[in-house]
Amino acid sequence: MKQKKICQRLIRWETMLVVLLIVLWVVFDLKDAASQSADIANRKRTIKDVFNLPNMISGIGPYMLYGFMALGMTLILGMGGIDISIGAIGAMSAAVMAVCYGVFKSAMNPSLALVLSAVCCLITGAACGLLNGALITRFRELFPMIITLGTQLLYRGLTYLLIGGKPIQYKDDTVWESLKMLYNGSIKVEYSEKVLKMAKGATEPTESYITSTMSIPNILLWFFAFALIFFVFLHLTKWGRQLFAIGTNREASRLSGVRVANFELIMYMICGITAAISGMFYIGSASGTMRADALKGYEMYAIAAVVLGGFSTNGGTGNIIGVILSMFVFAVMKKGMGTVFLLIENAMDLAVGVVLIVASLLPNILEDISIKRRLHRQHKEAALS
Amino acid sequence: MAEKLLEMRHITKIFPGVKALDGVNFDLNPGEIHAIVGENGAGKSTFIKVLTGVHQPDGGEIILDGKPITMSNPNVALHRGIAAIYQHAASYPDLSVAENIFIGHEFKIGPFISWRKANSEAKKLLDSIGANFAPTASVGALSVAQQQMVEIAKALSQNARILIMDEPTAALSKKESEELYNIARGLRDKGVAIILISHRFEDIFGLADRCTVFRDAHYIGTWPIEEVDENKLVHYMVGHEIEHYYPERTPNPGAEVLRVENLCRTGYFRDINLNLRAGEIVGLTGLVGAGRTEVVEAVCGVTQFDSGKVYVDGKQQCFRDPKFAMANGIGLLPEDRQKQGLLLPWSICRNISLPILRKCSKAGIFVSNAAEERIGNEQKELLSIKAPTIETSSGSLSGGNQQKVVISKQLAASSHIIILDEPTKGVDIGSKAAIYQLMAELTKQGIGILMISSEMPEVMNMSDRIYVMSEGRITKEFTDVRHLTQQEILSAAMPQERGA
Repeated sequence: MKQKKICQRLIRWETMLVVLLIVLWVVFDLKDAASQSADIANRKRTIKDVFNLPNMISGIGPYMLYGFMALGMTLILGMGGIDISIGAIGAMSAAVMAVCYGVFKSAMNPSLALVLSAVCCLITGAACGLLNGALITRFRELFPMIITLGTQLLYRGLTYLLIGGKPIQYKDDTVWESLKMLYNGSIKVEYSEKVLKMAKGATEPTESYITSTMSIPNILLWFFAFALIFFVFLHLTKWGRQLFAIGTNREASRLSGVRVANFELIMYMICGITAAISGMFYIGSASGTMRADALKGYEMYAIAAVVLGGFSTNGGTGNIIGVILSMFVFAVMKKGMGTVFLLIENAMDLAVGVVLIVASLLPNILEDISIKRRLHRQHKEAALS
Repeated sequence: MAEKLLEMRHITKIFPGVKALDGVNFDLNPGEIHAIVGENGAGKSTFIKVLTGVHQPDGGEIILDGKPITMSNPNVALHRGIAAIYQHAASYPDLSVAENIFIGHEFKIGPFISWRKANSEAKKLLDSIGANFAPTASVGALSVAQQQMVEIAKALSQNARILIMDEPTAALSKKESEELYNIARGLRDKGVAIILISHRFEDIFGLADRCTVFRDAHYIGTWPIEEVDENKLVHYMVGHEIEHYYPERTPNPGAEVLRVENLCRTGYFRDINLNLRAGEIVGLTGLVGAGRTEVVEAVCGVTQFDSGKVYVDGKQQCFRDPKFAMANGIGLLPEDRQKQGLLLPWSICRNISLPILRKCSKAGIFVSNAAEERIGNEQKELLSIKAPTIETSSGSLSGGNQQKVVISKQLAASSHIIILDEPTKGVDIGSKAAIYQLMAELTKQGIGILMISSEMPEVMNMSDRIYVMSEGRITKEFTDVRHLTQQEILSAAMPQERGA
C-alpha cells in the first residue's frame, strides 16, 4: 500500500514538473505578447515574437550541455552519494582529447586521430570517476562531498597544467571542427512564421507570413538517446534495483548480497564517463575551442536538475522522467528570462535557485503534514481504546 | 510508612502494532532501592522512558509527591529531580569531568563560565560519593566504572531525588560492582530513591529493598526482597505458560555443514572452534559484548577474520563479501533487522527478491515483476507472513513478521545454513512462538541453524547444543541440554574477574 503511495507521489511529482513547465511557458508567452503590443504602441518598424516553440528548440543547446552529467549524477544521488567534481572531470577529459588530437593528427589520418582522441577522452573520464569512487568507498568516514571537492580542484588544476591559460583550437581543421556537428542541428524543419511590420505612418502593423527553418540541435537528440538508456538501466534492470537498494539502506543491501563497494565504484566511473561526454559536447558547442575553465560550475546545474527531477539526496528514490522534465524547466526558465525579460545570463541563476529550493522543500513540507496527521489519528485511536 | 515519593498507576503505552506497557503499576518510597526485573521486551525500557518524559503514556497517571503530573518532555523530569543513568554513559568523552557534570547548568559570571567554581563544586560532589579522580580529568580517559560515577555526580548536581540505574553493572568487574553498590547504599541513606534495572541476580538480591516484575508489558507484582528468591523471580519473569511456546523436536543431526577452526580477529574474538550439522539448532550465547555477533559476521564475510579456517560443506572458504556467503548457502539474519535486515520503505516482495534478482530477471538483466511476485507469494504462504499483500511495505509490519521476511529472504536464496542473531529480540510472545515453530520446521528440512541469543529460556529450550562465549572466547560447550540449569550457563558466560 505504501509502495503504491510512493508511486502515486512520483507520478504527482512529475505532473507537478509538467505544470511548472506550462506555467513558466504561459508567463513568458504573456510577457512576450505584452512587449509586442508595447512595440506596436511605440510604432517600431518590426515587431518580433521572440518566445515561441521553434525559437526555444533551436536555442536549447547550451542548456543541454550538462544533461549528460545530470544523467550520470542520477546514479550517484540514487545511491545516496554525491560527486561535485564532474564539471572538472568534463573539462579535463576534453582537454586530454584536444591535446591528444594535436599529437595524433601529425602521425595518422585525422579522422582516426579524432576517434582515438575521443576514446582517450572517455578513458580519462572513467579514470577520474574511478579515483573518486575508490576514495569514497575506501574512506567511508569522509563525506563524498569533501572528497570530490578535493578531486574537483585536483582535476581542474591538472587541466590548467595540461593546456595552460590559452585556449586550444585547430583553425581550419575540418575534421576537428566536425565536432560541431555533435552539437549543432542537422535536422531542419520548415515552418511558417508570422511577421508583423509597421509601414511608415501606419497605426496598425501589417501581417505577413514567411517560411522559416528551425534546426533541431543534435545535442537534444543525443540527450534523449542517453536518457532512454539511463531510464532502462535505472528502472528496468536488476542493477537499477540494486542501486536504489543501496540508496535506501547500504548495510542491509550488503547483507542481502549486493557487492556494495564494487557497485559504487562502477557507478562513479560511469558518472565520470558521462562527464567526459559532456566535455566532448562542450568542444562542439564552443566551435572547436577548448579552454581550461570549461564547464565550470556545471556540476551544480546537473545536481540541481537531478534534485528538481525528484531524486532525494538521501538516495533511494527518483525517476529519470523527472530529470528530463527538470532539464526543460531550467532551459525554458533561462531562455525565457533572457529573451523576454532581457536579464543577463548570470542573474538568471537566481530564479533557478529559488525554484530548486522551493521544489525540494515541498515534499518535506507535505510529508511533515502527513506525519502530523497520522500521529494525531493514532493518538485519537489510543484514547478510544 | 511515609508518604510515597512516586506512584505510577495503570500506565499504558502503545506503539504501532505493539502494546509496550499494559496497565503497569509502580510505586517508590523515599530512600529505597527498588528493582525492576523482567525479560528483554517486558517493557522495562519503555517504562523508564515514560517516567523520564521521553515517551508520553497513552493511559494512566504519574503521581509525584502526592500530586499528579505530566512529563511532557525529559527536561520536566529532570527539573522534578528524576535522573537516569544509562548502561552506555551518555557523556562527552573529550570534555573534562567537571564540564560533563555541569553541562547545561554551568556556573556563570555574566556571560562567562566560572571554571573555578565548577571544579570545586565537582570535587565536592565526587568526594560525597567517594570517587577519587580529579574534576579536570578528561572523561574519555576514565574507566567505565568511573564514567558511571561521573554520571551519578551529574545527576546529584541536578538535585536528583529519584535516580534510575539501567544495567549499571553490566560492564563492571566484581570489585567495581561492589564500589557501585556502596555508592548506591550511601545515596539511599541520604534519602535518594533508586530504581534499579538489572538482569543480574547479585545486583537485585545484594542491593534492592523491593522488586517489581514485568512480563510482556504487564505488571506481575511487587514484593519485598526477603519474600522472593531466584527461582520465584525467574518463575514470575518467565511465567509457567511459556513452556508451551517451545515446539517438540526430535533432533536428527545429519552431515556437518559448517565448521569453524581457531578463528581469530584481534580485539574481537580468538580461538573460536565450533561446528554445525544439518538439521541441528546450535545455540551461541553469552553476555552482550562477548563477541558472538562478531564471530558470525566474520564467518559470513561481513567483516574479515585474521586467522583460522572456515569450512562450509567440508570445503574451506574465506568470504570477502556477504554475497559469496549467500552463494554458498549461508543466510544471516542480522541482529538489527530494521537497520541491517530490511529495506523498510520497500515492499515485502522487493525485500525478498533483492538477493535473488538474477533469478527473477529475464536474461539475468531485466527484472520481471511476475517472477518476483511468484516467489514473494510462495514465501508469504510458506512462512505465513501476516500482511495484506506482498506489496505491503515491510516497515509497517510487526517485529515478528519483519523477522519472517528476513528469514524468507534467506530461504528464497536457498540457504541451507541459517544464522539467526537474536531472532526474537523485540518480538512479542505470539510471534516468538511462531518463529520457534518455523525454526523447528526448517530443521526438519535439513537446514542447520546457528542461533545467537541472550535469552536463557530460548537458548535452553531450542538448542540441541550450546556454546557459551565470554570476552571473545568460547568458554564452554554443553552437549547435553536436557539437564542444564541457567546458573551453569551464566557462570560460563561471566567474565573472569580482573585482579580479584
